[in-house]
Amino acid sequence: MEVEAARFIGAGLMFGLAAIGAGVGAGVLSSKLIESIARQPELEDQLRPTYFLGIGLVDAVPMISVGLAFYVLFVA
Amino acid sequence: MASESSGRTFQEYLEHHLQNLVYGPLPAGHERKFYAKGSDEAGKEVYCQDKNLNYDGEKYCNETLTENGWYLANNKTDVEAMGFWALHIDTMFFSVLLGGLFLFIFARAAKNFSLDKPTKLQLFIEMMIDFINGVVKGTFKSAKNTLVAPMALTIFAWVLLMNLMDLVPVDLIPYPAELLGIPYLKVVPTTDLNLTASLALSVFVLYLFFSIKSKGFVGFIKSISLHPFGPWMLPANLFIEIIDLLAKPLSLALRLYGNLYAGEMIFLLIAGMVSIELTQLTIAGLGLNLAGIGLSLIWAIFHILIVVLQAFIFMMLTVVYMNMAHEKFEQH
Repeated sequence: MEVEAARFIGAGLMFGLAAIGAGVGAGVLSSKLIESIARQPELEDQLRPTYFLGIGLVDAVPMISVGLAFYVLFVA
Repeated sequence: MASESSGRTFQEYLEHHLQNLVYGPLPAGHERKFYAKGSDEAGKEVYCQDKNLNYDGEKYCNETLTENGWYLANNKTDVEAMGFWALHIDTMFFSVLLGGLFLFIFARAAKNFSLDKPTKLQLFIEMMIDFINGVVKGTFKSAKNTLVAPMALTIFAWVLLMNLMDLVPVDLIPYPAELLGIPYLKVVPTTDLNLTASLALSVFVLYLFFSIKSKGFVGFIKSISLHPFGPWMLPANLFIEIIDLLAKPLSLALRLYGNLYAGEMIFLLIAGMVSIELTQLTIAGLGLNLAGIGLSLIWAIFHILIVVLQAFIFMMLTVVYMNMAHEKFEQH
């Protein structure tokens, strides 16, 4: 296989898998947050920082993957 | 493309922006390459001869070093030849500058403190301190240590300021600097792995220090060798706990670096779409320009979330690790 083609396939896989992972993670987190707030609205202020911490942790690895995919696509 | 004005291809433009300004020792006999400026072959040759260098017929002027010495790197081969002592002086400069800015602003607010007529700056800083105080009180419960909250505030404010440099347009500082003769410039210190890794290592050293201080040296050894499975599975315990230990600074450093690097990369790709040579602009070029400006704006707005979030997470995890370090060892 040509190197150029392999590069595009690799970058495509990186984008796609990163999107799937981040989507599932963020979806689970958000749905649980909404459920929890619906059940106990008075806890919202306590839940929100934890939620953002979780979102940051979930977001980090896919973001790195996207950056590396761009690197593979345009620089390497 | 923005790259056209500096005579570079799109790829060279990206690589140029992703390279730190490196200062380091070069051995005698090393061949340095300078980028030849000029619109045609003759112009480039004159440019090289003005500097008493040989033109290699393509893109660069060459100079062979006659003695060892410390130089600014001009390209990747220079950086590789420097090896261990390659210092990223742009990262050092901007991180120290921003650290100084943080200290200056906070010290000024503390000096001009007033109960009756608080300034807006004072209110903002009080808000920030309240916020950090709340986070530390909520998370750090295992012992009493007055170092943790100031450290959390310092990390948060410093990392936030360094991350905010990402929102400065990508060519605003490096391009004038290049006209002044600085070959490379990376203005966001947190897109350099050296900085995030050293921050994470400092946190890790404090983690080890407080672990040993609160549990005692024997207690610390016990906590990493007897923990999940009990004494009869000591090798497995050690294996798991040491990986767990080393993963802490590694994930701290790579998370911050990776996020900011990816963000910077996307800013660069968008900047590559925009042309500044308005005389040669076609309709398609104009469309691309407008799209680039729009995309820059959208990504910058989205990036504000990442910038603040990553600073918060770095601070939060530091506090969590400090809390773990102060926990007493318990036999389960």
